[in-house]
Amino acid sequence: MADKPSDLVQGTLDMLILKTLALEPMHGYGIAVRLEQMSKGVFRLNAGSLFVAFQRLQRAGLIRGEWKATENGRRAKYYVLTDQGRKRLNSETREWGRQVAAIARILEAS
Amino acid sequence: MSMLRNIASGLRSLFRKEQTDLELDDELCTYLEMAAAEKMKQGMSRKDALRTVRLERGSLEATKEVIRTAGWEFLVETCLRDLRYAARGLRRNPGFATVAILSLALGIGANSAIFSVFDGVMLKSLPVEKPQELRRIRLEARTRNSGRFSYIEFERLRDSSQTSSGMAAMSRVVNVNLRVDGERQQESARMQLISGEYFPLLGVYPILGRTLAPDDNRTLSEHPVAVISGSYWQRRFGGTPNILGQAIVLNGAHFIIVGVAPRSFSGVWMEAPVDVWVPLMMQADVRYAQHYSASNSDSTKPWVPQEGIRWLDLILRVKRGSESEAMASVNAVFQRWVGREAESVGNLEERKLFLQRALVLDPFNRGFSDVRRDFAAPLFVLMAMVALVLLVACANIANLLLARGAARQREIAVRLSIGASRARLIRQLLTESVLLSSVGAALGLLVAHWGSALLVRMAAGVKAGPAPIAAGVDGHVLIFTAALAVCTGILFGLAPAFRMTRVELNAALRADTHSVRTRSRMSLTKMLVSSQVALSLVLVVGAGLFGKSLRNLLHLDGGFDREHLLTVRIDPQSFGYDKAQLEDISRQLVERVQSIPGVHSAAMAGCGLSDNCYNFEDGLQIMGYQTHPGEQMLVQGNIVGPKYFSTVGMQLLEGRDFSDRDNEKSPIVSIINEAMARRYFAGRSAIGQRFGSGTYNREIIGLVRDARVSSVQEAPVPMAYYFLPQMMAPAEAMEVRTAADPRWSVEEVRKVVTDVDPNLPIRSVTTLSDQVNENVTQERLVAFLTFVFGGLALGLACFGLYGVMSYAVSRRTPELGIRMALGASRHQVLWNVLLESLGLVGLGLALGVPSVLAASKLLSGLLFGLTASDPLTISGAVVILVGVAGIAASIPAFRAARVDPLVALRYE
Repeated sequence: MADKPSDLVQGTLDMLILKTLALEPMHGYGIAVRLEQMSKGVFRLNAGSLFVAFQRLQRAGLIRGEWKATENGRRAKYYVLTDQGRKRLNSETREWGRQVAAIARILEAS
Repeated sequence: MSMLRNIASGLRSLFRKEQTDLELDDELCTYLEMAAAEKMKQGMSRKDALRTVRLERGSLEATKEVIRTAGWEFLVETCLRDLRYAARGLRRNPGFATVAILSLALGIGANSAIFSVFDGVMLKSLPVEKPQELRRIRLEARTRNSGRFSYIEFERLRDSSQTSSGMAAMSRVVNVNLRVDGERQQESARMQLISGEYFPLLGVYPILGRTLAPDDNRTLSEHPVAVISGSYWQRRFGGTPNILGQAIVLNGAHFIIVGVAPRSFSGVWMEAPVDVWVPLMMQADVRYAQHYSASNSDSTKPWVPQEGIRWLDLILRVKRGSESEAMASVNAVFQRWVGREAESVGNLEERKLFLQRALVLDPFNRGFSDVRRDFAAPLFVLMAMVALVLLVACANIANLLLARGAARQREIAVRLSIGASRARLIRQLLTESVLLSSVGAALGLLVAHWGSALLVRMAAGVKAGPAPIAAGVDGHVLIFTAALAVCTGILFGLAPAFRMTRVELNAALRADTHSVRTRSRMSLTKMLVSSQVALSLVLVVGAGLFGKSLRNLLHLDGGFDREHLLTVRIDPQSFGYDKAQLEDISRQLVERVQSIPGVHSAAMAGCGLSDNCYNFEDGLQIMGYQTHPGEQMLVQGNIVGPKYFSTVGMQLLEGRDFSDRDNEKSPIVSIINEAMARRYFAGRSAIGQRFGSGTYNREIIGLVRDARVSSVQEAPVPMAYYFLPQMMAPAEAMEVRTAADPRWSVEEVRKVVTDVDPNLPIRSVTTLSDQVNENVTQERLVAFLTFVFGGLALGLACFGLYGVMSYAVSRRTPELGIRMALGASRHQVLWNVLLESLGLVGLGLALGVPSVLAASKLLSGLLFGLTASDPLTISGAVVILVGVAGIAASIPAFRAARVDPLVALRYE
């Protein structure tokens, strides 16, 4: 169980991407690596779900993409968090905290 | 906002597909490259790194597919692709496509046409501000429901109710003689009298000049101002801007046009669009004297100051949610005056009833309409019938699709076997049927456009001129048609789609399509044919019932001789002749008309035989008749000249006719009809009895048969005839009996009337049979349409039966060949096929007859002179259906019998 990358809790990928972008603009691969690093290898993402999420977030106006050069001279599409995205991240983080606390309370009871 | 962005981005990837694809490619490549570079840093070869990345992260193509199918635009894209594919399929099969599209165009078009009339008549609101706030005040009582109020009552209600935002009064719409100042020609126009609050209350603003305001309705006879409707302005004055200040003469009174109402607004009476509005104060000047009830009053004097003359309809606005306050407010006012009036009612029981009366507020968002009331039930029936026709057509197309499906079985099997899901195929097939129905619906709109105009004209009995009811293809009809197109597409496409995609791959992929088992497909087909037969039976029976009902109406025993009668309607009042002059004119008219060759006799009357202009008299008292508390004493009255009864051929049963002895000085005499005698003189002779209002001042001298022209759905009403020389009211009609076809005398009579007095306006000269026809327009329309629908359904069902049986025969050719080779006679084969067809018809009839009996209950109110479950009509319809179906089935049956065993066996 522990050595196998797990699936994300439904609906949390968007939040995690927003969180990653809250630090600095980042390209797709960078986001994937950052998520894997921060989760210490628990989450391994395939490109399909990642890019579908990018598309979804772009359409919702939470992130926007711009092509820029990377540090080693490659051109890549960098994603930037919009103001709206920042607001959404805050509210979702709050909500997530509330829910986790609630679930924890339920599990610890009895 | 984000939805807009979503749509914009989706559209971008739809229409600039290549660019978005390219961008995505770029981005994904970079992504994979970066991942590979990472691996290479750890010492892998480039090739290994790329493979590992593909394994770990998913391949480029698969990822692209996932991303591409994630957005909504992907659905649109596949739909478009399906549509293109479907269109190609239909183009390859033009025969099938044409038949299907044309029958759908007819079916959907007929539905849309009926719906457009239904919408126009039943659903549409008045083109005024917030029509849903409008209410009409009505008096509700056990004895008398009435919407009519006197002007004084209107003022009381208007001035003391607080919650409503204003109240307006109006008369009914009547024909007047209009003459444009400076021209000689008189013409007929439709006029309505209104209070000054009318236009402001409705929120109708002028397109030119001004509308009438409360200040235009203050003093009796002092406001000669008129507003004309936009359509009358166009029609009569060619839309000239110089219309303001134009003088017109209405029934002899001069008016100045001060404004033009917008074209969209033609009053609140659907079938009586108003041409000109004038203030209520001008009632006596324009000689408005219709649609009123009077008590303790003199209807020849101006009506405005008389409380006893009730002639106005009152409307008001009630803000959302303040319904009950508005009601309480008007009733508080009403109770005050009712309380006062009640004191004059002697009888205690009567007084109690009198005090129980209350005012109620009816919704008025759609205005008045007789057409709506009369046509509501027939329109529902027609909607149901036309829907059935569409169902029959759908069954046919479903059958065609199934037959086509057999030919496409290999294609479907191939697609299934290379991995298309069944759901995906069903979607593709449904796209195809919805495409069919949409094209059909688009053509159907043309049918609807043409059909609804025709329907309206037929419904209103108008042959030319502007349609009286606004119906046609508008937004509502478009939405209805679009919804219908999608629904029918799915309806006739769904079952075939399911059936077609349920194939046994192995069998279907083998070259020999004949070996595919089709039993279940055939049984669905047969079920469809049987249900078509059942539906057609319902429609054919409907056509039979309405046709018979119409015939009964036209050949009704009216209580008098209806042939050879001509009615001349004149308008002597508009010229303001006094009584002596009118009598003189009447005498001359009768004399001169009688001297026309071919005319038997002529007689004057208050109004024509088929007119409903008789005044009801309220509060009559009849000697020797004990009224029940709360009973409404209703007697219709007509005034007639000498020789009236012999002229119209109404039989005098008892007593005597009017004669010269009865004149202004002698007591008022009356001849009553059987209905009045039955109701008020049951068990005693009416002759010599007296009745009247207030005093028993009228003596009954005779009894005539009930006369019914064609408004026959109701029982004859109690009726009293008075003698013209004894009454004040003028004669406005003349009945003429001719020896030959009365049509031949129309021109002659018209000429004579003009000769007698060139100024006397002639409203119409019509034969009674024309009037009868006019009165049954609704029945005629329903009968005609059900006949058309029945025929259509029958034709479609037979077409279906023919198609199915032909198909079955062609498939069974080898089998039939074997049978015949083994010794079956042609006769036996013929019967075999024919019996199979008749079995289908029989099953349909077995389903149809109970449905007919169930549906007939809904029709009973619309039929005259027969019950809805008329056994003769039903058995007749069954015979017709079996006969026509037999003919349709005999063609494939004969074809089967002609099968040559040798050819058939080689065919295999």
